[in-house]
Amino acid sequence: MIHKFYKKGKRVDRDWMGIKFDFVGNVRFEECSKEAYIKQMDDLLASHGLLEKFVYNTEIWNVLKGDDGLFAINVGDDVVKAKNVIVSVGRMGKPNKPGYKFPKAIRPRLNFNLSKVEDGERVMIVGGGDTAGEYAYGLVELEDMQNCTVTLNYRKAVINRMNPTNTEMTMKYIDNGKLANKMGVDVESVEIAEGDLVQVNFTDGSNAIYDRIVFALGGTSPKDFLVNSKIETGKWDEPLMDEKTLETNISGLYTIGDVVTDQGSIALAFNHASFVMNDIVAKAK
Amino acid sequence: MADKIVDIAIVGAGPGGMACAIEANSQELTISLYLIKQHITMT
Repeated sequence: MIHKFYKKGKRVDRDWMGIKFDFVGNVRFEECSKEAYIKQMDDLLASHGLLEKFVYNTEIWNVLKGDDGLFAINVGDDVVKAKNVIVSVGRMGKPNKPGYKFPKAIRPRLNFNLSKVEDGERVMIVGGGDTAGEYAYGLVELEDMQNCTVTLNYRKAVINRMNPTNTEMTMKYIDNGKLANKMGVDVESVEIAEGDLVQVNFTDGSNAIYDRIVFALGGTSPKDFLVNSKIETGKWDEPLMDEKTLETNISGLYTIGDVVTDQGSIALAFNHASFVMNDIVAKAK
Repeated sequence: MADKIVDIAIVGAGPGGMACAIEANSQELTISLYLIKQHITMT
C-alpha cells in the first residue's frame, strides 16, 4: 500500500489529527519518510524471517468457514486452510469516485493517485481530506515535478478535514501562490478538450483545461469482500465486530485497519494487530 | 495432495497485515503464517 500509493519522500504519520498516538503492541514506528518507513518495515520483517512467507499478486474474493471449522482460501490452484483469518484489505482498493461520467477518451487522465503524473503537467487534485492535501503540496514539493502546475479543488471554501500539519502545509502553498486555489466550488462534469485533454466544468459556470485530474475522495469499505465472506456489516457497510478483539460475527475471523475505521491511521492498524493477536493467543490456551 | 493448514492467514499485506505477522513473532507464538496480498485493481 505504501509502495503503491505514497509518492517519493512522502511523510508517514504516526499521530492522527494532531493527537499523540500510543502504541500498545510490539510493532511501532516513528514519523518518517516513505523510504525510511519501508526500510524499517522491511528490516523488521526480515529479522522475523517473514519476507518469504508472502504470496504476492493473489486475488482473494472471500474467506469461508467450512464444516471442519477451518477457513478455506483459494490461492491460485491451491486451497489454504486456516484456523484464524485476519482481513486487512484496507479501503484503497475501492476509491470513492465522483458521480459524473468519465468519457472513455480521457479516462487515462483521470486518476486516483499521483503515479501517472509527469513533469510539466497541469494537475488538479480533487478532495478536501488529508490525502488530497498531501497529494497537492507533495506534488508542489517534488523536485522532479517542478514544472507542474498544481490546483487544489475542494467543494468547500475552507479546509476543515485535514490534520493540522496538512492544513498548514496546504495553506502555506496556497498563500504563496505555488498551489492554485480552486476551493469553494464543485466539479459539475468533465469532458474531452482538444488534444485529449480534460476540460473541467465547475458548478459556478467556469471551466478550465487540465492535463490530469487526481481524485482523492477517500475510499469505501470493501463491501463485496465482507459480504462474500458472510461478515455482518452495518449502516455504512462497515464490518460489525467486537470492539476489543476485532473479531467479527464469525468466530476466528477478524477485521483490522482501515476496513474498520475511517481514520486512515497506520499506527492504529498496528494496535489492531496487537488486539487480534492477544485474542488468538488467549483462545489457544 | 492434502490441503495446507495454517494457524493464521492474513489477507492483505498493508501495514496492518504486516504488523500482525510481526506481532505474532514478537509474542513468540507458535503460529504459522500465510500472508496473502490482496490484489488491488485501480480503474
